[in-house]
Amino acid sequence: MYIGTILVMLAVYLFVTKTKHGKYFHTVGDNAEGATHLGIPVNKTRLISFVICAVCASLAAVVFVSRIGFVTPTSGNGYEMKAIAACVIGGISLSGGIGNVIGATFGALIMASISRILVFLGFSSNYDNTITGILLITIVVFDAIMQHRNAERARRERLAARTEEVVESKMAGGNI
Amino acid sequence: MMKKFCSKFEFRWEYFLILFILLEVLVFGMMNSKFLMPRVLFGSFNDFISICIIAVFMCFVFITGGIDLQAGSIVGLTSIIIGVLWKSFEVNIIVACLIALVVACLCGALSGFFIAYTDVQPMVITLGGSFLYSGLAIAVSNMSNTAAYLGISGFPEYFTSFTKLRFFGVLPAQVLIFIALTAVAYVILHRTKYGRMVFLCGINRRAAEFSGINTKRIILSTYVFSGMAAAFAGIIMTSYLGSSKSDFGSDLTMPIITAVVLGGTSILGGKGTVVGSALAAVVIGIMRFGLSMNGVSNQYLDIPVGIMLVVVVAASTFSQNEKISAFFQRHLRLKQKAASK
Repeated sequence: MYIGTILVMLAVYLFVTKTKHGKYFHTVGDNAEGATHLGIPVNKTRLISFVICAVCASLAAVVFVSRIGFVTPTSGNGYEMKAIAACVIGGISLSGGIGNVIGATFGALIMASISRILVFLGFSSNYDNTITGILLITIVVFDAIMQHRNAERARRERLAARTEEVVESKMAGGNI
Repeated sequence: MMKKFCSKFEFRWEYFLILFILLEVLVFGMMNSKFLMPRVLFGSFNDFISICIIAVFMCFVFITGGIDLQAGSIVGLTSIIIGVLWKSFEVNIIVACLIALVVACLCGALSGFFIAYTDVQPMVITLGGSFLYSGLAIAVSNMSNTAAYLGISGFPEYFTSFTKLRFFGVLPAQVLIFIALTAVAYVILHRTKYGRMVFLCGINRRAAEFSGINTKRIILSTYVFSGMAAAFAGIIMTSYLGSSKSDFGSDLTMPIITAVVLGGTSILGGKGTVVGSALAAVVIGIMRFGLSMNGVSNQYLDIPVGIMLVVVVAASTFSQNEKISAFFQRHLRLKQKAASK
């Protein structure tokens, strides 16, 4: 079963990074309008992404049923939130265009193993959700602050480079 | 004459929702005459009053372009805080309610702070918040010596009886509280300067910033309002059920969002009304109640609500799409031309 999971992960990873259609996903997420101008079928890509998600959900259902052996129509309720949290921990941006499958996999591993790790560390399982929440918020906020700082630094560097250019051209006596 | 009337009568989504409520009452009343008894009809409000109250204030969050997934877990947190404070620390129940209210506001403010000041997507932060606060609720419940799944009960009479009060023999006190809160929210959002700022933050945050509005503080405050509404819902729920448990409201998140979106509030922000959210929550509640009264199993109650939501969102997007509306207008004009010939 673990092999099966890894195989699914690898298949999706290869599809997203190595095939032409897979690369559309990043493009559409990054800049939908630009993708349209490039001739990428944006709506079709979005549709396919939902189909892939549903197929993966059904695979998860197969695993769930074969492991638990007991089914109710509402089993799996609330998994969507955990899945979103796993993706976010794995470094996938909710606004689209950033992230990869490997990150999501590790995010899911972290999300799933938090409760086990806490038990091994001697915490009561009552603090499970608290620590998950704190972890999620901390990671996301830290990531946002880092990104903001990086963007700011890049902007400063660009500005510095430009002013240098201007100074040089003035020293040379030419027009800008 | 008719045309004049039509042009004066501006179509608003709220009218449609009122029509829908009347239609629901009529249809379910025909299917089951017990449904029309005022006692039963108003008594059904007790089941979904928390959705109504939270939806009214979550509308604020949606208008600024955010989303709030944590309100459900704040309901549980408030409930358990009241219970533990009263039982283990022997605080007066009204003081306990006030403390719970303050804690809920602080919870909302914490999430709102991260959303407003670090520019993270509100969805992630409130998702983390929902984990955090439901975890805190369990942690708080461990501070008392009763098991978490049993809940704390045995509240004083005056606390549990105020939600069982019925004015004129039919109207539960909760409905009046709900109407009062809706009125307050309406005044705040549609009649004050603050409300206009909330709208401007949702339409164009940058423009709001340039016109001298402290958008960060406005966005933070909307989450505080949402947390406050969740606290009210938690207090009412604790009082009505007569016990406090940490997992109250854990299944409310999706119904609340459904109600807000069905009420005509745009997920992208900048559009929405308090009255619409309130009416939509009532629409959903009555539909669930009516269906279950007519013998539909509990498991299927989500299906009509889901269909309604998807149809409404799709239809509203379609009607706003310029291409499609232009197509229909052209079509109509051709028809008129053909008719005039």
